[in-house]
Amino acid sequence: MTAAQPILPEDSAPQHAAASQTPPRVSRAERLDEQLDRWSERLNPILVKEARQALKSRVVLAMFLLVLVLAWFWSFVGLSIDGPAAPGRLLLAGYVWILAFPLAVAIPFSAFQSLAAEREDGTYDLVAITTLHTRQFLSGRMAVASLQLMIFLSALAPCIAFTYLLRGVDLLLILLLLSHAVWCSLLLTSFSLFLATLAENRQIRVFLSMLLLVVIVIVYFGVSSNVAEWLVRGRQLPYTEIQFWVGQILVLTFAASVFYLLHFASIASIGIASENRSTPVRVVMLAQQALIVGWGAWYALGFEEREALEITLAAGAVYWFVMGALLVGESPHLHQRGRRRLPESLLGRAVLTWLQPGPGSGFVFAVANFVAMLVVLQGLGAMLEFRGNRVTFGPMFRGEMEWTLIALGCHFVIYLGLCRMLIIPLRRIGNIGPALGFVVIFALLMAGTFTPLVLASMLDLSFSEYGWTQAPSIPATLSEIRRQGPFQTRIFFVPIIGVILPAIAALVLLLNLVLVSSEVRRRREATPERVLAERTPR
Amino acid sequence: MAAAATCPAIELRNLHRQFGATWAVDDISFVVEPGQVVGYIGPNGAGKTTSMRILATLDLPTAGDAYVDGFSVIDDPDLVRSRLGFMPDAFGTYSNVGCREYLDFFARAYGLAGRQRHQAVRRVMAFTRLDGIAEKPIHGLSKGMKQRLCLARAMVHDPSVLILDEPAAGLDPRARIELRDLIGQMASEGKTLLISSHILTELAEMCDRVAIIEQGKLLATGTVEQILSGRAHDAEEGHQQTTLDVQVVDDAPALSRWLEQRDDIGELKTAPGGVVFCYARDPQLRAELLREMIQAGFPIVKFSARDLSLEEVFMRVTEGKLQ
Repeated sequence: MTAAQPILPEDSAPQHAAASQTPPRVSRAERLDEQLDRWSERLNPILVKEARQALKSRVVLAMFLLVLVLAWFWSFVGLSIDGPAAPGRLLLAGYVWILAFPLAVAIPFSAFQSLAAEREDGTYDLVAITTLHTRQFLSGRMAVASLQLMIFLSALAPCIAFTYLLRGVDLLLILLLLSHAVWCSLLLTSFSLFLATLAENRQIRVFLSMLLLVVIVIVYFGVSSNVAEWLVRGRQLPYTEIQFWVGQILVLTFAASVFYLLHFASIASIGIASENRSTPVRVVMLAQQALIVGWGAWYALGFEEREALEITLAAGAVYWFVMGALLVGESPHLHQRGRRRLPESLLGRAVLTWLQPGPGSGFVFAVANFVAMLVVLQGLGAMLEFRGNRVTFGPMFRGEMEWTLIALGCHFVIYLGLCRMLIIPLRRIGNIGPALGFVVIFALLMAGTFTPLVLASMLDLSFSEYGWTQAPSIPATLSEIRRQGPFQTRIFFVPIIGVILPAIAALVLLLNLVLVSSEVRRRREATPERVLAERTPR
Repeated sequence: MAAAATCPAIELRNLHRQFGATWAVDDISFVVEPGQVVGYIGPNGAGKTTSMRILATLDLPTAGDAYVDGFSVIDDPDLVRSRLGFMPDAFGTYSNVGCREYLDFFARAYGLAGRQRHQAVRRVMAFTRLDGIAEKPIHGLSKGMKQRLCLARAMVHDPSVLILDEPAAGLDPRARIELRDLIGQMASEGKTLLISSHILTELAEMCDRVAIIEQGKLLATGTVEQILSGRAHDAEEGHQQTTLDVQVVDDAPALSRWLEQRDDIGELKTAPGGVVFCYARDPQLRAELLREMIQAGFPIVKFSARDLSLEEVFMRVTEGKLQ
């Protein structure tokens, strides 16, 4: 590692000298142990440590035995029940309840407790100062969860295989159930680890553990009861329908993207503070944007369902309000380490600057993505109309969809821009993380929604009458657009949504673009030669 | 690594760390050269642990930077970590883990593999004399043994720089002496050590240099001798003094009153049969004072100067203020 001379060189130890004279007899068990040790070289150190601890842990053993006993117990009880359901399906329903407990509750919760406890008692600090990267540390934790998952699956594997021999269960059904159980468990574990990275002190840890417990218990009972009921009722999966398999892919792609988002967010939460932790998260956001729009488009065009676009719009709007708020809550300071990897070329800077950390670039990134989503949805809406020959393009800004897109786009820019500007003075109070953005935008949205109601009651206005006081309210504006349909007859409608909101949005956008200039002007800094030499593989 | 020889092993450059309204570390700068053993002393809450945690890459400074072997703890913490061993003042341990497994885990975490890993674990266990309890679970170890284990962990990747935060805290006298021997052995191997401790007499024996910190500010740095003699480059002028012990045949109060009238006397205290006070180290000035005393008619029987101990220097330099 370093040039320093090692203390007590290996050769100087007298016991080793003696050992070299009379080589000790190595037993078969010791040879096996050595072999296992050699194999473990390639494994993540966290996995090796946790596996060693688990082997000595009574809790793990007790949990494993409990699952085993319950499975065998249910095997006998389930077979003796004489009901309308096929015996295989009834048994499988019971196994789902048993298997879901370790997979959905025990593994995620123990992952949370383990990491949160490490952070609380300081053992994480000792690992953090090793050369183990945060990515490896968290991957190790996921590997531990995967190992536990395999152990519990192996405990139930004979029982589940047994159901295949009975009536009502086919191999595809078992494989689908197990694969969904596995990704569900890994996703919950990833969520648990993310929460654990946020547990900076005991109070937060207790709060987050309660939150996690609520989530995993809801998932456990929700999923288990639904799947078990579905099995017992004897419903069949539509294997022959292509949409069924596309739906499976849809679910898996979303699960994978959420998994990676949580993974990178966890790394960002406890990783090296000077590192660029934002770009990987933003790349996943881009992927999720593509998934939301892509799957929405597939459904809308494939089934000629315009409502699919509305659902996509709603999902995208919620997504970008949350993600945009977190992005504008980022620290404006970029350490030299982050500056060393800034894009250098003109094209690189034009395209990749928005993936670099900072609230300004985050604002532009979120707005650009949101507007891109609106444009794509507008295009898809037009395509649907064209296909259906229902309405030709008609006069601009007449349709409900167009007004919705304009209003939402303007509100998004205004709220996110105000959030970004409010954070600047708030940041002087203390160094608060990206969560500050979430808190601020939530407060702004609440104020924007409820202030019009208060104003209306104070000014003795009718709640149902849309006017300038209700313009800040997204629900009021959207419901007004829906009520009006394509024909705008009310006096305030066009001036507010067509003129005032876009004007304010343009002003907020302009102010924020001025604020982003300092981030755009950042230049790449040269990496010191010694650092380069150290990082270059020899 | 060739350029590394020109870099200080540790450098704190205008380091600041703020917690709320409190500056835990307030503009601290000093340098530790390779192979030096530096004592980092200060009262509780002075900012020692905070600055050590920054050096160990566990915390970020509010302003300024710190360097280990020329690498910034902010921008290149990964390179710092490969060179640095850190022993915190308090550390948790894993359940169901033996000493060897514990060290083996950290050796893996530092990227050591195969024979190199086994050798590293054996080496540090032999050095800290943990061989006899290699398979013993950590939770059953005494405080002294745990401290040794933590030291072994900090050394497992053979770092060139070691930062030890209160390594002797809570140890019994035997364990303390053994730990002191280990530190001495590391120093003789050419390791750079930054040690914080409240046991100043031991630090004075072990350390080449001392840095004194209070309320987040660095009050004095220098070699132990420089600090003792008050010649440290940033030591206060008033500390270029020595302690004089003067005894008279009788009428010590009269001598005390006579000395009180002088401006060049400090910290005058009466002692059995005489007085103790601070005076300039300059031998000429001391000889002149003695001559004046005799001329004033005091029956002097003892006039001896002694250097300040590290504890006395510490007490004088610091004011015992808490943050």
